Amino acid sequence: MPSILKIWDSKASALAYAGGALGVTFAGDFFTLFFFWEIMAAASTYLIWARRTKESDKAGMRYVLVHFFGGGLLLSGILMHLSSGGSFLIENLEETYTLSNIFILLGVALNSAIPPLHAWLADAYPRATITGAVFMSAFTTKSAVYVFNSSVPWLGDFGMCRSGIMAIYGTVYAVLANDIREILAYQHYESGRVYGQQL
Amino acid sequence: MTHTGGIAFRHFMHYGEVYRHRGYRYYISKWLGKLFILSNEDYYDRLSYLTVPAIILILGAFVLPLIPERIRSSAFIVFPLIALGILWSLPDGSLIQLPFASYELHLLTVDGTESHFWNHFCAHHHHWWRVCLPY
Repeated sequence: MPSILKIWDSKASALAYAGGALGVTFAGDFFTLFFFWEIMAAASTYLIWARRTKESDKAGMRYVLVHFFGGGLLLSGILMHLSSGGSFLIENLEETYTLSNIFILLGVALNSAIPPLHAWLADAYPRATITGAVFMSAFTTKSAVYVFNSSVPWLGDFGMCRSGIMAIYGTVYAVLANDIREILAYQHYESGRVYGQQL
Repeated sequence: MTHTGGIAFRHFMHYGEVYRHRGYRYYISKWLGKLFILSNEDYYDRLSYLTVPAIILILGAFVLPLIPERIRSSAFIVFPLIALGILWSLPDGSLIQLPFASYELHLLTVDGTESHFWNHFCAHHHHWWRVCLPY
């Protein structure tokens, strides 16, 4: 029987990716959140690499480095939060700019492609497979926006500013783009704005 | 309500209401209980973590490559449908815990916001066809 890695395909990755995103949304504690967060990062990387072009290989490598860095920031923030006596459960973080809060915030902001941490999105999404682009448009940024709004709701004003910037940025660059998948990638900024404002 | 057997399924409602609202999760875990020949009464609690939608999808990802190629596309739809059915049958306040080291991991916490988010998300995300236009 061939090994699971040899027969692993983009559909399986897409399922794992969707599972990771669902897990992030329903996670009740920080460890569960981090676990599903990393599953999401790893599975989505395969969706870029599955296109098997030199360009997608490089874009996938950049994508995975950015996301593992973001995951590292999130984990560091969580560990600092726990070591300072914070709750293990996901709840509204205290309205203070402690180092742990800033690290958690940066980790989540990177995944939700908040400017200026947004360059990975337009770089990676157009280079994924067709299935990959469809799935990637659905999960990473939206689940991160959800986590952002559920853990730091006291940053509401900042969230609204972020949504405004994302809307303008996405619209302008979508008009300038001439590849339909690139247009879709920029459209994520706009849909991220919608979710941010609704939440 | 805490149970023995490692996995705890707790609900903020009264037990009677849990029983009435158990939906798909109950029947899936009952089927899994039969599959693993767990004849005792607490298979529902012991296997409840297998009915977490995220875990169903991730397990599905490992099962999918082993399914014959001609029915793989159909099978690809089955796992999300099961997860969606479970998602819709979850009442607000559901909580599934998994003991890990000295912690109780909260694999699934539903307070209503999540469900609304995902339902809205599914309804809103209608622009997938744009990707397929050039092909």
